[in-house]
Amino acid sequence: MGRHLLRQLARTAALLVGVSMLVFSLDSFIPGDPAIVLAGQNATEADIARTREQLGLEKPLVQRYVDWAGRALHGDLGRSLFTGQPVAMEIGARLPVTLSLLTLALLIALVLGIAAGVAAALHRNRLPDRTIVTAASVGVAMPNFWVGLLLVLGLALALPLFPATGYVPLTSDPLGWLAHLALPAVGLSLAPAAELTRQVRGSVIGILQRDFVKAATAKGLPRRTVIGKHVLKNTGVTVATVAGIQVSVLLGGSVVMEQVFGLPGLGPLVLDSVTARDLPIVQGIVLVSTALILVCNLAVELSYGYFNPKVRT
Amino acid sequence: MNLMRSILAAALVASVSVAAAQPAGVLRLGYSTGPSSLDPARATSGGDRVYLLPVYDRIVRLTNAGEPQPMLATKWEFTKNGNGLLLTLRRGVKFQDGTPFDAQAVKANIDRYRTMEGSTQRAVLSAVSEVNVLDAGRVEIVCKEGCGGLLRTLGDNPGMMVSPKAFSNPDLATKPVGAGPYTVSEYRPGARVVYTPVAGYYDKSNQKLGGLEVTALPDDATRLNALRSGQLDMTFLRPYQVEEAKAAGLKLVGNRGSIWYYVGMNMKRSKFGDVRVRQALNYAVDKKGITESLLKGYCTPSDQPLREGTLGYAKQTPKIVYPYDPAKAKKLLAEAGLPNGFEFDAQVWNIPLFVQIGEVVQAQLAEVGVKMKLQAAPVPQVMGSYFGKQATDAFVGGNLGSLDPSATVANLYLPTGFFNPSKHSTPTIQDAYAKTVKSPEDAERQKAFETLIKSAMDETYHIGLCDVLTPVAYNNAVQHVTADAPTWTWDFYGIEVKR
Repeated sequence: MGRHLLRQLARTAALLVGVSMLVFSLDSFIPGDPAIVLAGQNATEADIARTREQLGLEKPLVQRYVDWAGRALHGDLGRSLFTGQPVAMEIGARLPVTLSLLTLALLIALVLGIAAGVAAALHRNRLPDRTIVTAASVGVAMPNFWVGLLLVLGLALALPLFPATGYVPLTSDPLGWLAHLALPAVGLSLAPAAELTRQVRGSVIGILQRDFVKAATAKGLPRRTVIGKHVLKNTGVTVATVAGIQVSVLLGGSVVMEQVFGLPGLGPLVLDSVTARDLPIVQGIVLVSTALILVCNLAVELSYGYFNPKVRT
Repeated sequence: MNLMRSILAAALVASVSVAAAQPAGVLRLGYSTGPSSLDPARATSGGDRVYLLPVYDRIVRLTNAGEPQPMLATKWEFTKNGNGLLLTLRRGVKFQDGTPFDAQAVKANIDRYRTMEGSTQRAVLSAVSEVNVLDAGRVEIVCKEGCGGLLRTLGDNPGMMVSPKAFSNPDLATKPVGAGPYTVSEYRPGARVVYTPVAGYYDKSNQKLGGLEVTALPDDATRLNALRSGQLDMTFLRPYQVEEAKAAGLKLVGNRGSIWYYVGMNMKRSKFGDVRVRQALNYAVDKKGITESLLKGYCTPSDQPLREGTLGYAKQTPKIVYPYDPAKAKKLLAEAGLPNGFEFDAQVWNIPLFVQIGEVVQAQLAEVGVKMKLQAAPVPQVMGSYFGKQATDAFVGGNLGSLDPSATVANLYLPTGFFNPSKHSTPTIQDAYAKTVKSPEDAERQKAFETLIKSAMDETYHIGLCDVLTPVAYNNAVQHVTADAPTWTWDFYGIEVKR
């Protein structure tokens, strides 16, 4: 188990290095020049050239990467080209918003997806199953920004139950936090919930036909126990796998959702930074997002050991 | 009974005094971006003004028509035959950290703006050669070739006075220290900046708000939704949102700024070296039609880059020099030896409105046989490609003018101008420019601008489109909003919020 964990950690670190190198090299292929933006609107060409030199943009790509990686290892992700603020601070200020949104959306997706998937499987090929499967197909197909806009129109403007935009930190007002995140989290969770529903349904149908389920039922165990103890635990691997994949879907979707709901998370920051070519910020966000997804993948892998003890060896 | 009467009277008095002492409301403003920096020397965008103006009083304040009014300087006169600007400073003003504002502070600030590494204000202050402190209340700025353009410049970032004690503060970009009516009490990167009133500020009409919250909401629809749902009091809109805002019962005003939309043609590329080709393309574009259909009237058709009614707008030159006339366009193209038209590439900012404008221009040029290959790209990329590397034939976008018109025209028409990619200029333009800078008198300067703009129109640098009116929507609580603002945004002068 220890060796397995170490191997996973080493792979995670190698992936992080690879991703950061990729982002660094991609930047040199994109046209545009941050020095023009940074020098200001009244800058002369000499000002722009001087700015480029100050930023070290004239240095070779490899040297710039090595400089950056060396500092990053010491926890220094550099400073934003435009605000001059430490990248870690810029990201740190927004990460709680995005993490709150992701956590809430994932929770909603899990509850909805597992409940609907199990319900559909238990009523296989009957009306509830068909309704759920159709709804799930629609859920997967709907773009989340559109769902978000509908939610704003319906539940914030026409029927003002929730705030249309903004964010309140959990620590200062837990209820306000929930109210502000409810609509974007629901909007964001629908597609992953639909995907979970389909996968859980398939998995449960398969498990219901397995011998140990039949044996448990034949033993006279109540249906609730059979489902709760035997079936659900065995869908765990499916749920963990799908949920792990959906974290990256959620992270991508959160960029759009944060725009629609005016949430000050990583989404607007990454859009601004990519547009302005604020490379240190883009690097930082890619690094943090990659780390987040890799940690989730690690957690998923470790969860297999709980759901299926055979994996532990 | 008497007791009852006394109680009632007391209650009445109390309620009246409560009403009279109703605190000034906080203005919640929605904006599209966060500030690049709250240090005016490092701020890179004109859009930062909305965040800087509440904190930083300027040397002069510019009125709606761009006229300088006393602010931190109460008087000014031009000396040394137009090469010096003598400022008499307001007495008794203190920066928000308690440092007194005086002539030393002015010198320290202007020297910092014009010499500091990384200052974004060096170019606009390049005319300044030295700053001399005469006494605590007077300072003289000396210019190399005339201080004519300097005064209005001191109404913008270069005139924003930062407490010299705070120059070396590592957090100046987020905790600004100025001499203005409000101070930053909360700064959440990219999300919100909250301002509270400064006690003892000298000009109460510039401090009518109980506070100010500026929230950055990049998405246009989100900003309007936030205003409609009561989370904001005021925000700016895109023209296509005007009808929705009206239907929602919001108030609207067209904010006159200094933005001019145009199509740029690099005279060193494609067929643009021939003035007849540039004029033909001008005649081929229906400027009036574009402003009416795409911009819903929130833009006044204009070939001139400076706004009508301000210094520099050429009254003796028509606003539209080249009206829509496709037949004339074809004739000019034939004269230029291009009867079958030609093809060129253009870049446009990847902002939906500009892409739409680009597509309409593209369709109208196609009518006269000219094929414009349009590519949408992020703003810095377009600026880098068209203006920086001069690697694109044409450009569809806008020009955000400087507060002083000399700086605006220098950028567009001089060989040193960044926004003049072909570096083309004429002796007439350069002589006239020198006069606009040399003379301190507006009347003299205006004469030079008349010559300059006329010559620039004859040279046909651009296909002018229109002067932008930014639609600003606000709710009933916001009062005394005016249509004019000298900068792209407003400085909240006189605006009140009553809930």
